[in-house]
Formats: sequence, structure tokens, C-alpha cells
Amino acid sequence: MNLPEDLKYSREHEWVKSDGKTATIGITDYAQERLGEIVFVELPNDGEEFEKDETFGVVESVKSVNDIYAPVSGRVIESNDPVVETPEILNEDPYAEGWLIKVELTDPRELKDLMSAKEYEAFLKEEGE
Amino acid sequence: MATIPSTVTTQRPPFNFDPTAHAQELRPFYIGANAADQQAMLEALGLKSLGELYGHLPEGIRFDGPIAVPKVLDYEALAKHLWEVSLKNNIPEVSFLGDGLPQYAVQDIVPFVCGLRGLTTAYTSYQAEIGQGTLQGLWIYQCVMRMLTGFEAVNASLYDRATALFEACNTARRLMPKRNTILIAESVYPGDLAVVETLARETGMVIRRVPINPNTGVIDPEEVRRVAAQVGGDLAGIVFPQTNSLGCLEDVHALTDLADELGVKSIAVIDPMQLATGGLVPPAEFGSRKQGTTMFVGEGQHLAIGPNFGGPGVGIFGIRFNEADKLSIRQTPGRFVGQGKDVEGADAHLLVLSTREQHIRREKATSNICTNQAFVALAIGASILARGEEGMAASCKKGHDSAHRMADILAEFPGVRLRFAGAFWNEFVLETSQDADDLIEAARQKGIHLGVNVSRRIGDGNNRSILISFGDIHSPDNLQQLVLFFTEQFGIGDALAGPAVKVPAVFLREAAVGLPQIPDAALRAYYSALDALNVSPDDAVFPLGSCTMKYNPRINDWAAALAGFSQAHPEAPVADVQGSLQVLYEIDHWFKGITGLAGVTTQPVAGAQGELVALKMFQAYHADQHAGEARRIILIPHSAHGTNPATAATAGYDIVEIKADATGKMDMDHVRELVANHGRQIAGVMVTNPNTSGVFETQFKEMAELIHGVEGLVFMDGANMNAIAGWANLGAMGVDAVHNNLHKTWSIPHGGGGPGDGMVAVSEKLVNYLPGEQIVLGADGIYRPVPAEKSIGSIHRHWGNFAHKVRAYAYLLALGQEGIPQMSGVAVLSARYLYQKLSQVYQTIPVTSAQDPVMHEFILTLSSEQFRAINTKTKLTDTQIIARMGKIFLDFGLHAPTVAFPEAKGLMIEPTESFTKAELDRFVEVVLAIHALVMEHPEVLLSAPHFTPVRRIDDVLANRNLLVSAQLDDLPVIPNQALRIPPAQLHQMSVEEIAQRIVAAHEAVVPMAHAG
Repeated sequence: MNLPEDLKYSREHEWVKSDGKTATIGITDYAQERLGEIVFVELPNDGEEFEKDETFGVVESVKSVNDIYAPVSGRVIESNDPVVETPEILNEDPYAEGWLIKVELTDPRELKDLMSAKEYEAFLKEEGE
Repeated sequence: MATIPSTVTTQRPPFNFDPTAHAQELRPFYIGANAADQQAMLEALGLKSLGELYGHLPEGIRFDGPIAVPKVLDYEALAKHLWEVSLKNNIPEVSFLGDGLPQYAVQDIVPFVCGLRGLTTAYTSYQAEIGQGTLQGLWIYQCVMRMLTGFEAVNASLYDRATALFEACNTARRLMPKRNTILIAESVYPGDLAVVETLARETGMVIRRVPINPNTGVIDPEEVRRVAAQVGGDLAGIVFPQTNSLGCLEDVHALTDLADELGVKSIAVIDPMQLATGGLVPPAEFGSRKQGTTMFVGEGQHLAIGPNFGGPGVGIFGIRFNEADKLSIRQTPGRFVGQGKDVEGADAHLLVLSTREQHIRREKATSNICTNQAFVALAIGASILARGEEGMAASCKKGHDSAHRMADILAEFPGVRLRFAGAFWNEFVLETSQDADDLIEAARQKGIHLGVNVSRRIGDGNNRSILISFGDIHSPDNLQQLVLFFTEQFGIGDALAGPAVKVPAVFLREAAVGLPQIPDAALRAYYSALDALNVSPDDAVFPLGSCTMKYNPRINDWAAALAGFSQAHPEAPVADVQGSLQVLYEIDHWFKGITGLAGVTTQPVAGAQGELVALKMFQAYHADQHAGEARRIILIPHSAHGTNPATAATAGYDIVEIKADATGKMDMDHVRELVANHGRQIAGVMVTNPNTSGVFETQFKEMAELIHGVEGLVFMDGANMNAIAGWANLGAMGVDAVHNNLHKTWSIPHGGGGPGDGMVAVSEKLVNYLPGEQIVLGADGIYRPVPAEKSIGSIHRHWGNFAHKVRAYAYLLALGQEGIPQMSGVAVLSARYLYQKLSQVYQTIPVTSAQDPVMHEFILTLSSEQFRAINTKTKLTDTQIIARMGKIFLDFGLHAPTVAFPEAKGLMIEPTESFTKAELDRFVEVVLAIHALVMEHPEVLLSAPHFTPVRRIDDVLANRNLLVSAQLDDLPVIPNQALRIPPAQLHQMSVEEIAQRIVAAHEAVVPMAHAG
């Protein structure tokens, strides 16, 4: 399982990369593998705001649907359009080319609630996954 | 009762098949296993009688004696009876009834495809490799609808126009989040509006009607603007017809522009027959900029089949899907057929966009609808191709020309005038000096169904307006008869023709549709080839669990096609449809007998709609009996099919799940806890029994008592009635409402996905709330429809899928009170027999105890060691292994068991009662051979299926690159890959030989398979 050290992780299997003011958000390698071959991605428009734990997008394989929950609160400043056009990028490169959105954080303190790579790995084990 | 001239001959039509040529057709009760077979199977299980199979059902819930249905009729007596009932309908020589179900000629291709059993008896094509016949037929439907309407995405059909309209309104709400109001022009058909309003209640959707202007017969766009201003920011969409319920053409351009100006969704109601070349402007070009509406809906029944007393109908639903709008389609309901490729790169069709549907998204699905009207939609495709570009244009023009010629002539009679001065296409309203009902009756006496009294729709206080409709069935003589009738009634007309009404050019289509013109012989050859691409329960065990794929008797189809039934129009005077009403009356009574309940509605056209009707009645009951209480909760067991939560959500309820215990049944402690916690917030419960794993919920009655203790109501999902019909008394179990899938237990064909049927029976508590009308038999011997006192409204524009009631009626008479428990008893016996043989090799889910034996179906799986061993060699996950094992069944010429439901790693098998012991034994041999094959040669899973018309279809590619319609220039190519072996040939081979061929075929397509 690929779990980059420089990222933060959520219990809903999203990753966050942040400079403290803005954040890039995607789904983890584990999430993409569990979904299988992804055929559809829906992302929010620029300017949309959401609270932590609200859903901001959808990722679908042929026979399953996963809502994507916001790991932190924020306002969308950019969505990754190529992923919408070519969803397989998400399977191939979830941590780089497969990023989903960039947001301006509304409450940077929320970053502290996220897990480190080690903690996330332990969390996956604990979940029996 | 006065007898009128009727066109139905007095000679009984011969069977269109030879009953003696089909072994299943003449067997007692259509049961496969004869007495000796049954005896042998009982002995194998150590049992003495069928009754012992029901020994675990608690005391007090079993029927004590014969159920209240008639005694069995033998084959000849059955045919005679069906024929005689059909003769009680008077089918007049001339009919001008339309009212949203206009009358066009049934093309010869329709009875032809109705005789193709591979197409009529198949299941929904989830196993696409053996469903190409149905899938290609539906693809053609989607393509021709695209060509007629201009909409890129027309789904594979919904129930009928009314439900399509409700679903479109819901789609508009999803596309306009947080907005709930829909404006509907009151000029849509009243039957449709009633359904939409019934379904909208308590869902948060607000319907605002915009009234008809009684002077013009159409909606004033300025009135729409005025109402829209009142609604303000809550407005989500505007609904308007093209030809309205008074025959008048609405100003579709102004209304479309107005919706755009207001920034809301527009939904047009259209008739595709009016959109042929030379006809009206298609909805994709409505608006001053030809921008088109957001969605359109329409009725399709008359494009293929006769009136059939109102059903099965076909709901046509379209939305845009192009570069400018790729996402709206994801908010729509229903099935879409897509075009993709198999692993060899050949064109193939499959169901796409499934993640919107209830079987995956449950309560978050876009709709609770599971089925479509697949077979009728397929027949519409065939009919449109049979007419072709020229024939469609000719039929469209003929309706228009006859209507305009007759309008000119009839309006000249003294005391007769065209009620409205505006444009119309193929129907118009006449106002006369006579009472409309009297005039309709006078015409009836002359053998003419003159039209529909629409005085109340106009609302001008008089009763003198009749809507007269024209199709392509009217001969010059028919029109002459109409003129003669008016001459008799109103005297000689003024010979001077008045000013003819012309349809303004702006309402006409510009470009030709461009439909292909296919010679009749080529079309028949094509559909025969499609027939051969499917598999049918006619040929072998069709083990699809939870779907009850039993034999569909041919005599049922013969009966439904009798002219007396198929040509009866639902708007015909009651005196002329006594045969149809008798069928409904009797079948209602029999279902009361079968269920042990007090009332029945025949309106629901599918299981999911039956569920919804039940919950709408729950809402009405609580609003009436427990006013002021907020009963928002429906309890649903964890094991439920996705439709249950989807239906509860569609009805507007919150869902609370009941946990499963170790055996997979309802956890009764949890039920008690939920009742204690939620009390009178509970509206009711939805429980499938036997449950989705095929186990009888023995504590159902205790559960019902707990729910009744807080005055909640109990819905039993009757999907698995085939296990218990004639044995379990649902009334005694505490059921308040149950639906019966006529397409499962009661033998109507699945049609490749529909039309289905979902009649609902209810307890005394709910009788007053039933939808539509019930039939009562007067002391004068006349059947009359009467609405329930506190009816929830209406769920179908007429009587549901009437043709299916005829089929079930015929089936019930062929079974009688003796045959029904035999039927379900042998279904359980067959399943138990298979289970005993197969569970010696396969693992099962759940591991059943003596207290909870399997009923009519059971679930097989592999051990974790076996999964691991296969995974090591193939890298397939457990769920992939199960799905691919399903594909191996296809290589044996069979349909697959149900894979991935209700258990992700399960193969659910339901044999039904239709097969002989020899057929069941062959099936056992196959299923054991599959086990041996995947353990010894797991690599074959990677390339399966091998012998189907197409190889495994790449569903990932097809869902990434969605293609749901195309311009159709010619018939699609019939797939026929090199390794294909038709099922009939496979059934002649030994099981061992097929297994060897599978291994050889794998090596042929994957030459390097053994390299590692």
C-alpha cells in the first residue's frame, strides 16, 4: 500500500496536502483500489464552499458509488478537470495526477484532526482492511 | 344490456401454437415434476408429503383448507371460458376514442415478435452476453426515439406517461437543488395529472396547476408567468403538453422560452407519432432559438400495440446528453442501454449507468423503479422500423388529414361547432346542441365509439363537448359512418365549408426524421436472429434466484391477444367493456383468497410500484387516523432488496434498519428495541417473507404484533410468494399490505425486463384508501367501477397492465385451488432437492439449521480456502470469482444464478416448479462440474464466457465512454463470435464434454495461459 509520508489522511480515505492556508485533496490508494476501475468522477465548481464531513463529489465504478467527504472545511479554488475527463487517472496515480480539488481552508485548525501516514496505516489494519 | 354491432367474429380463433408440441404446456398446473418425480425427490429428502416442507411455519398462519379461488379448468374448458369472457366486450367497428391513447394500426411485425419466446420470456439483461437480443431491441428503441424527438438520451422506457412525468418532475428537482415547486399545465391528460399528484403527496414536491383558458383551450403563457412569480425562488420546472387533453396545440415555443427566461427546467409531454416527417416540431427544437426543452415524456403504447384496456403502456423519457450537458443524465431514473465492445473488440450492448439505480444506491437512488416496459419498448422499435420513414410519415399525416377533413365537415351541421378556433393535429373538440353523454350513447347504439366527454376539463359549465380522435386505422367508410351519424342526429348540414384550421408553420417539423426503410422479410429475419441471442426458461432450468423464472404458458398470451381484450379501449362506455371488468372483478376476489386479505388494487404495474402504493396508503391512513402525529419512520430489515429503501425514500419516509441475527433473519430483540425507541413515530415496516436469502421469517407474526402495538402498519414484500402461495395466510400473519409480482409467481412473461405487474392486497384497515377504482357487481349483473371512499388517488391512468391481468387470470384458472399449493410446494421441493445435492460440495449462506430450512431458493458460495486458491492463480478477488463463475454457467447454455445479491460472494439459485427431475438432475451435474472446473482450471474464469454470441463485455470502457443512442441507418449487426455454441447444441452435449471444451476454448483464446 502506497502511503506518502508528507500527506494527511482522513477516516473516509481522503488525503490532504496543505501549506496551512490552502489544501489539495484526493482519495487514497486504498480507496481507489477498493472501488475498482473508476468510470466517473463528479467534482464541485470553483467558489463552492463546504463544511468538514459534507460531501463534495462522487466517484463511481461500474457497480459502486462513493461519496467523497470533505476532510476539512474550505472554498474550492480549483478542480482537476482532467480527472473528470479521464477517470482512470485516479486509479493510476491517486496522489499526484489524480488530485481532485484545491481549497482555501476556512479553519486550518482542522488539519490537526487528520491522521499521519503511520496512523492511517494502523487505522486500516484496525478496520480489518 | 343493449348489444351493439361488434367486429369480433363469433368463431373462436385457433391457437397460434400447437399445445401438444410443447411438453410444459399441457402438464397439470404447468408443474415439471410428475407424481413419480415428486415421490422420488421427497424420498431423497426423507419426506412423505409436500406439507412437510412447511412444517416449520408456525401454527395459526397456515390455511386450514382450500383457498378461496375457483376449481381448476382443463385446457379446453379454459380456452372456451377465456374466449367467452372476451366476447362480453363489445368492440365496435368504428372508434374515435383517443384521449392520450390514440388508435393506430398494429403492425404485422408485432404479433410476430410476440411469438419469439427468447425475447418474451427472457429476464433483464444483466448477463449481457446472453441478453444481446433484448439489448439490441432496446437499443433500436432508444435510437428511433432519438431520431423522432431529437433527444440524445431516451431511456429504455418507464411504466407509462404518467409515471414518466412524475419521474421527470423529480429529476427537475434534483437538477435544481432546494427547489420544490413544479408548475403543471392543467391541459395535460387528467389521468396523468392525478397520478403525479398522488405520488407527489408527502414527498416535499409541490404541484401548482396552471388552468386552461376555456376560450382558447390552451394555457396562456402569461398565466404561467403570473403563477411562476407567485412561486418565486422555489420553482424547479414547468410541464406542458404539445397536443393537450383538448386536442389543441400549446404554444410550445413561448412556454419553452419562458422556462429558460425564469431559469427553470422545462418538461414537454409529446406523442412521438405526431413527430414523424411532415408532422409537428420535435421537443429538441422547441423555443424561439430551437434550444429545446430540458426533458420530454410521452406515451408509447399506441406505437406498437392496441388499447388493451389501457395497458401495458410505455413511458418514454428523454433528456439531453451532449457536449453542452453531460451530467443531467446522471440525475435521471430508469435503465439505459449503451453500446460498447466485448474483449475481442466486437460491438456489443449492455446496461450502463447502473449506479443511479436502486439495486446499487438503495435509498439514494434516482428512483425506486427497477423494471422497464422492455418488451413493449422492443416492439415499438420493431413497429417504427416496420413503418419506416415513409410509413411513419403516412400514419402521422393520415391522422391529421382525417381529423381536419372531419372537423371541416362536422362543424357545418346545425347545432355543431368546433369548440376551439386554434390549431390541432389529429383530434379536436366538438360542442353540440345535445348532452354529450346522450350523444355518446346514441353513437354507441350505432356501433360507434364517438369520443370522450371533456366538458369538465373545459370547465365552462355545460355538458356538450366531446373530444374526437383520429389515427391511421380509419377507412373512408369509417369516416362516412361518422358523417352519417351526425346527419341522423343533426339534420342536413350547410354545404358551405367553413374556414379550414391550419397548423402554423412554426409548429411543424422542418427536417426529415430519416428513419431507415427495411423490407418486411429482412425485419422478421432480424428479430428472429435477436430471439436466438437470448436464453429462455423454455429450454432449461433458469436458476436466477429471487426472480422466479418459471414457465410462461402460451395459452395466456393467446388469451391476452383475443380481440375482445386487446382492442378494448379503456375510455369505452362501461356497457361495452363488461368482459374486461369481469376479469378485474374476479382476479381481485381471487387475490383476496390467495392472501387472506380484504381488498385489492390492480393498478400497480410493477413490484416497486406496488410497494409505493402500499406506502402511500400508509401515509393516507395515518393522516386520517392519527392526525397530528409525525409518523416518519419505516423499518426495513438489513437483508432487504434495494427497492424497499428506495421506495420508502420515494414515498417521502425516513428509513431505520432492522439488524439481522446470526441466521440472517430479523433480529427480534432489535425490533423490540426500535419499537420501544421510536414508538408512534413508526409508520410501518417493510419485510420480505420468505426473506431475500430464501428463509421464512418464522417470527413475522410477533413482529407484526409489535408494530401493530404502536398502531403502525405492516407491508410484506411478496417477491417470494412462489414459496408460500396457498400455504401461508397473510391475513393471519398480520399483513396490512402485500404486493404480488405477477411476473414472478403468477406466470406472466418477464419480457426481458418488463412490463411487470404488482397487484396489491390490503387488510380491512386500508380498504378505504385503495387507489383508482374497484369493480362492483350489481344486482343487475352489471360490473361497475367505484372509487374507494378515502382513496389515495390514482397510480395508473387506467387499470394497470390489463393484458397481464388476463394472463394471470388464465393461469389462476389453470391452477385452481388445488394447483396453487401444488405449484409452490413443488417449487420448494425442487429447491430443497437441489440444495441437498449441491450443499455436499458447495458452502452455503447462511448455514441453515433444521429450524430454518431453505424454501424456494438458496445461496451457494466457496470456502475461504477455495477462494484463496483461485485467487493465487488468477488474481481475481472473491466477488470477481463469483461473478465469473456466473459466466461459466452461460458456457453451459444456461442463465447464471443471481450473483452478488443478496450476498456479495453468493450464487443464488431458484429452480421454480417448472422443471422435471431429469432437468434438475442435469442441472446438478452442471453445477457440480462447474465447481470441479474452477478448482482444477481456475484460469478459465479469466476468459469466460466462451460460447456466448459475444465474449465478455468491457463494462468499464462502456461506462467511461457512454454511447446511449445513434442515428440508425440500417439494422445493427447480429453478433456471432467464432467460438459461439448455441444453447440448444450445448444441451445435447454431455456435461463432461462441455467442461472439456471450456478448457480447450480457454487455451485457444489465451495461448500463454499455462506459461506461468
